[in-house]
Amino acid sequence: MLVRAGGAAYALPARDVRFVVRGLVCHPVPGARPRLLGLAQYGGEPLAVLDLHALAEGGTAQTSQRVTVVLGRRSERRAPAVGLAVDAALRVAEFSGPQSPDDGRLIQGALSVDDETVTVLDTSVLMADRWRAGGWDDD
Amino acid sequence: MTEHRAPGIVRAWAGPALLTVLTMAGWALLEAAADSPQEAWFVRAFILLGAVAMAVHVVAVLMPQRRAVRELAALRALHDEQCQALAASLEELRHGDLVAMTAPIAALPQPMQLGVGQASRALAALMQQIQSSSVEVASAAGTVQRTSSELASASSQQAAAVVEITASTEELARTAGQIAANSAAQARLAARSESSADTGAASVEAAVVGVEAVRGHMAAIAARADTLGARSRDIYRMLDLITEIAQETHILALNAAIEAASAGEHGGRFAVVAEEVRRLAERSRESVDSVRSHLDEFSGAIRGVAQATAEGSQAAEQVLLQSRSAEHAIAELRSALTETAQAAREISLATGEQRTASDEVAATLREVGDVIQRIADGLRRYTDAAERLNQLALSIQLLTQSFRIESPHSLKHQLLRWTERLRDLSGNLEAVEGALSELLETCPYLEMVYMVDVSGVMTAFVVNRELVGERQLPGSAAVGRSFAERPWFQAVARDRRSAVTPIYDSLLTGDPCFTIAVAVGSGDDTVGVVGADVNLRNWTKI
Repeated sequence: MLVRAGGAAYALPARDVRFVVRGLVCHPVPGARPRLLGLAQYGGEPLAVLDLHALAEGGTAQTSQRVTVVLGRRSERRAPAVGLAVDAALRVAEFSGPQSPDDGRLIQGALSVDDETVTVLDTSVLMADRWRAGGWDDD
Repeated sequence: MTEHRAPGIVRAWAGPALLTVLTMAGWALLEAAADSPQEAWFVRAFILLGAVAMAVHVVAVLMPQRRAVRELAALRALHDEQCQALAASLEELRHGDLVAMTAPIAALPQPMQLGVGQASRALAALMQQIQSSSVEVASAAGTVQRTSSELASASSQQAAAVVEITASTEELARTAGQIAANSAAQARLAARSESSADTGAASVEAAVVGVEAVRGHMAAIAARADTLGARSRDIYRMLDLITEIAQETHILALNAAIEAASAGEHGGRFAVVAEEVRRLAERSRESVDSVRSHLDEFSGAIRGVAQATAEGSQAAEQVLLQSRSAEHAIAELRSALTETAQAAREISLATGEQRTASDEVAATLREVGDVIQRIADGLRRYTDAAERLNQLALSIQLLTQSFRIESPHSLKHQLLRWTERLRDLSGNLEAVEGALSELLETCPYLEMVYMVDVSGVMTAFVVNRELVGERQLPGSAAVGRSFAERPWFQAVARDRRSAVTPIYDSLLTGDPCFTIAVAVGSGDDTVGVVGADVNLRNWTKI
C-alpha cells in the first residue's frame, strides 16, 4: 500500500495492514520518544500510534495524522496492533521490488513509481517480539 | 616878496617925488617970471604950499600906505600858511586818512577848524555807517542767498517730486482705465457665469437624481451579492460534505482493497471494484477540489462585487453629498456672481470716474510742476542776485576800508595803531612776533600778518591756524624772503602811506583775500612795513 508521510512516499506490505481509519484521536504519552505520537482507542483496545516519517527518517514527527494505518498480523487477530500516522493512504497496488529478507531492518530499499521514489518498508519488524519486548532499537 | 615890494615902493614914493618935481618946476618958473615983491611973495607962498602939500601927502597918504602894505604882507603870509595847512589836510583826505587830516587844521582859523573837523567827523561817521551798512547788507545778502539757495534746492526737489507724483497719477489714471475695462469685462463674464451657473445647477440637480438612482441600484446589487455569498457558503458546506464522503469512500476503498489483497486470488475482483471505488472517490475529490476552486473564484468575485458595491454605495453617497454641496455651492455661486456682476459694474463706473479725476489731478500737477519750476528758476536768479549783492557789499567795504577813520572797524587805523607798538619793538623779533600774534587774536579775520624791513625782506610773520588749519605754508611765507617787488610794498615805500591791494586768491587757504600794508614809523624813521592778509570769507567779522 502506498502512503505519503512528511512529503515522502512509502510502500507498506498490504499483508501487514489491518485497516485504514481517518480521524483517529491520539493521546500523547508523556516522556515518549518523538516517533511515538501517543495512544489511541481502536476497537476497544489501546493502540500505539507511530509517526511514519519520524520512524523511517528519524527526527521529529512531521505527519498530519489525518490517516492512521493500523498494522497487525492478519493471522493473529488477537495480536497487538500498531498504528502508523500518515498524511494520506494512496492506493493498494502490486510492485516488483525488493523482497523482505526478514533481516529486521525497517527500510528495505526503494523503487520508482510514476517517476517518484518510493521507500519500501518492512512493517513486520514493528510487530516482532523484539519490538514488543522492549521496543525497536534505533541502532 | 622883494620883487613884489620894489614896484610898491616906487609907486608909494612916486606921488611925493612928482609933487616935489612940480613944486620945484613951478618955483623955478615963478622965480623967473616974478618981477615984483608981490609976485615974490606969491612964489614963496607957492613953495610953502608945495612943501605943505608934500608934508600932508607923506603924513596922510604915504605913511598909512606903508602901514597897510606891511599888514597886507602879514596877512598874505598867514594866508599862505593856512592854505598850506588846508592843502595838507586835503592831501590826507585825498588818501582817505580822515584821522590824519585833522592834524594840520590847527593853523586854520577857528571857523575853518570847526568846519574841517565837522566835515572829517561827518565823513568818518558816513564811512562807519557805510561800513556797517555794507556788513548788514552782506549778512542779509548771505542769509537771502542761503535761504534762496535752500528754497531753490527744495523747489527743485519739489519739482522732481511733482514730476514723479504726476507720473504716478498718470499711471494711476491708466490703471484706473484698465480697471474700468477689466471690471466691465468682469461684469460681462459674471453675467455669462450666471447663465452657466443656472445650467450647472440644473445639471447638478439631474446628477443628484442620477446618483440617488445609482445608490438604489448599488443597494440592490449589494443585497444580491449577500445572497450569493450565503449561497456560496451553503455550497462550501456541501462540498465539505462531499469531500468528507469522498475521503471516507477512499478509505473504504483502501480497506476493501486491503481485504481483497488479503483474500489472495479470491479477492481479485473485489480488489478491482475497490480500486474503481477508490478512483471514483478520487475523481469525486478532484471534482470537489475543482468545484471548490471555481467556487473560491466565484466567492472572491462575489466578495469583490460586494466590496465594490459597498464602495460604490459609499462613493455614491459621497457623490450625492458632494452633489448636494455642489448644488448649494452653485446656488451661492450664482448669488455671488450676481453680486460680483453688480460690484464689477459699480467698480467700472467708479474707476471711470477715478480716471477722469486722475487725469484732472495730473493736469493740475503738471501746472503745479511748471509753477514750482518757475519758482526754482526765480530763486536761482534770486540767489545770483544775492551773490552779486554780497559782492557789491564787499566792494563797498573795500572802498570804505580805503579810508582811515578812528574806529575799531577801520583796518588802516587798527594797523597804524599796532605799528606804533611795532616801531618801538623794532629789532626785537620775538617781541614783534608776539605783537603780531596779539594782532591776530584781535582780528580773527586775518589769515596772516607779517613785517618786512625797509628793503622789503620779511623779518617776522604769524599765521592764523584757525583759518589756515594744518595746511603747509607756501615757500613765500618765510623769514628772509624779499617782498620788495610786491606792489603793496612799493606803494608804501613810495608814498609812506598805507595801501590796500585788489582781491586775489590766497595761497594759504585758496579763499579770496586782500592785503593791507602800513608803514612802521614815518619819514626817515620808517623801520619797515606791516602787511595783513584779510580773508574775505570772514570779512563780515570786521
